[in-house]
Amino acid sequence: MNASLPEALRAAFPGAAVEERGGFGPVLVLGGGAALPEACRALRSQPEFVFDVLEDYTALDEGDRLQLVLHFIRSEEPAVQLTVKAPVARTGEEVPTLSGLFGSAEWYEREIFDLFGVRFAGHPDLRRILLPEDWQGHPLLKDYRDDKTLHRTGD
Amino acid sequence: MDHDAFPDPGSMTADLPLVTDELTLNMGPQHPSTHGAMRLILRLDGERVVSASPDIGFIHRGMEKMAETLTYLQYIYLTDRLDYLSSMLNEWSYCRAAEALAGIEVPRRAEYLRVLAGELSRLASHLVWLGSMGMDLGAFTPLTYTFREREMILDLLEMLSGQRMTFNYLRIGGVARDLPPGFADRARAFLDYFAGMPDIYDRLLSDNAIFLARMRGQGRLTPELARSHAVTGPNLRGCGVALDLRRSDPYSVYPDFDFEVVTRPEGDALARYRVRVEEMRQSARIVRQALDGLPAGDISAKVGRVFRPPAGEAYARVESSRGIQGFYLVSDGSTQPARCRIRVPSFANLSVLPELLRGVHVADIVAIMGSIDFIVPEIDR
Amino acid sequence: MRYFFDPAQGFAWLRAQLRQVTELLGLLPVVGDWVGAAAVMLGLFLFCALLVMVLVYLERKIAGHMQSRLGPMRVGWHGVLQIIADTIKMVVKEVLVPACADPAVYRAAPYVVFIAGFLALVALPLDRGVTPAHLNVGLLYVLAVSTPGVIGILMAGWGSGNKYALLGGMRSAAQMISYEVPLVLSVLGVVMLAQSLDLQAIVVSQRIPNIVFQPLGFLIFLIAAVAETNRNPFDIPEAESELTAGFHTEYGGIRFAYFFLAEYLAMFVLSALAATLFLGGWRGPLLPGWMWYLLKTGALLFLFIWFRWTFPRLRADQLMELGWKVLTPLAFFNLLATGLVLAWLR
Repeated sequence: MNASLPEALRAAFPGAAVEERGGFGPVLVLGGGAALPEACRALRSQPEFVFDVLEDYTALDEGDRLQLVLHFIRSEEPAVQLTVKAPVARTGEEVPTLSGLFGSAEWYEREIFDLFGVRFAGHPDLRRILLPEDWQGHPLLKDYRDDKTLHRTGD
Repeated sequence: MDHDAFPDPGSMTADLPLVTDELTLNMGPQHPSTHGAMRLILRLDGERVVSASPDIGFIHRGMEKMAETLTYLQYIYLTDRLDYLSSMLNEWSYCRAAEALAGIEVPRRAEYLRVLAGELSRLASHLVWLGSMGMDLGAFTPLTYTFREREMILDLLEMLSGQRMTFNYLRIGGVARDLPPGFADRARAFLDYFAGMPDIYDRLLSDNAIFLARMRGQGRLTPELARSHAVTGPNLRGCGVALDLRRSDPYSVYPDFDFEVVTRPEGDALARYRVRVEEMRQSARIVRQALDGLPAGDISAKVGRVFRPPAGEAYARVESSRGIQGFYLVSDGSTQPARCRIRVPSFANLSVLPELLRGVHVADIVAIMGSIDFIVPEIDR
Repeated sequence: MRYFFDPAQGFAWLRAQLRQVTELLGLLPVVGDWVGAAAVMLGLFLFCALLVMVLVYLERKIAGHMQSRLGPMRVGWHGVLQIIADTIKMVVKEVLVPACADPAVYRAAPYVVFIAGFLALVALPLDRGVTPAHLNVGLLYVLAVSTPGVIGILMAGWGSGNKYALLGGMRSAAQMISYEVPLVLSVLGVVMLAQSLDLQAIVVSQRIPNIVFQPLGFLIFLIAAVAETNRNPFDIPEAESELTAGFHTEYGGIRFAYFFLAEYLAMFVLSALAATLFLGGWRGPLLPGWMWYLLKTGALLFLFIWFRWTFPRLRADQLMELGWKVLTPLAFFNLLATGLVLAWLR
């Protein structure tokens, strides 16, 4: 199953790139954030994949753009792992939410919004999760200015 | 409706709707049972929960951002402070990710020592969980018994690493220190002593009718809900899904070890409880095998003074005491990670709590939260 | 020395002396009785205080040893002075009234609970012929007068102006009222056996302790008593891990001390009542009567303590179920069975 997974991915997602990393499963690189819901639905339901657990969903700051990174795992044997990546613009782009497909996405997307500023269209409750409600800025972005006077309490 | 006027009894009809207000109750962030500084905003209708909304972030320390300013080696001590009850397992997943980035192979002896330390840590974590579970339900005595056993484990780990809780024992490439003289005997003495303990806990708690009445059928988690919310660890195994990374996607030297993956089909709080108690027995079993089968050799691979992995990324996970814990490290070729993402099991485990708490009694909130066994510093990072 | 074994004579002698003294002072002899009564009340109050101190110390020591630790050890030999230190601390603490509280209700609540327990204490027989307040309906009186304690708890819950306290107070009231029923029903079997409500008469009638004839009654009484005193496994109102000390959340200092006092007093009263009704009260060979009384009460108090540190706590609705659906029918059954057996025997 493992050996043929990259092939199966290439066959199912002709527009995407599939990279292989030794030992940690393949990486499926989609064209953009808009392709995520469709791809995830296919990954969950198609019998050759059955990636039913969205283990982690986060983002990277690659300077000129952001990269959404999703880690999947299968709950049934063999517990293969898969990484899916999708580039998004640093600002202005709204990524369709995955919270309808995966319950875990609801909080993960809130965290990405909180720390990176990515907005998710259709999310039931998009607000900050780790930082206080009135925090300014998105800390995990590389150009985040950690100004000690930025967040004043009690005002 | 005029609330001030006394209702005319003659006008009372059976089909008038009963208007009761909902009570909004704030549980935390300082509360004995929230297992950390977490706020749970409850809306109650009498004794029943209408909705429960966790509010996290009180212990957010910016650990992911901090990693970008520290070297790989400097960060190890911070990983301890995620799930501080089973610190060795946090360090392990981080070191695995760093080793994957640089393609370092860990010597067998070091892997065995990691398993030894990791399983002792898991055991200590489950002991704390058991004690606080009992205490949340009003049984104060099991806490003292489990902490007594945990003290012995902490003594062992202190012999090994010099610390009782946040160990800073693992290094990239292996472990920091070899077994001190006398460790093996002391560890075996502890295992002999501990062998009968889970049975005592069973007699005190699991077989107690009041405990069973409080736990049976509570917080029923279906496999579909668990998968959807990425619930892992004993919570997932407590609803019948046999996902244990040590067996399903083995890492380190776990294929050498003989242990059972414990699952139970019911999915309620009692099932999760039984899974963890049984896991304690299994962990003790693994520790004994690790002691018996410890190979000779180096305790660490040769890693240079300065750890500078080539550009790339790696995502390594371990089966922590609460579920799948993973580190996703992205390297840009420098001595500091470009991105360090921490996948914590308690984050996903907690996200299913609002579903589980809908419609339950106020008193059951504590039982269900305890049975999920999340830890807040891990969630908030 | 003979007063040691027969305090009734001793009290009679004291009473006679007091009457003589008052006569000497030119007052009516009955004034001597009043002075004597006041002295007895004061003595009982001091006894309560002393009792609670001893009980708290024992609870902490027993709890400690059950939990594989030692309990208080530092203050005094093996910690015996610890409770004095704690009492001093509680008494000198700042006493405040929360802003949202109803001041009169909040202030009065602890005393209401304490008085209910104290009133019950005075009717319990200590030895042959020695009862601070001997009533021929003693049992009815004791059961009736310990009930208003519930009102005190409701007052505390409401008067604190705190949601948690309110919830705790309501739970507690529901619990205590529910368990009054099996409590009272379970002692009716004893009444039928002794053919009297007089507590002294009940003790005198027990050549063989009633527990032999009324084991079910004893068991029901014991469980209901634990529920009445809000002790684990029925300590929902105080459930620290859930509702932060329940109805007495907002109380500190001396007012909290009164709640504490009242709880242990209630424990003592119910244990003493059980000892009187089921274990033969002050009856027993060799030792003086009051010593047996204290020993039997002490044994039951040990049970109370043992239960607290062993069991997890019942949820409020499970507790109600136990009271209404299990204990009350069993108590009725006990009553019926006792009645039938007695009718058959006579």
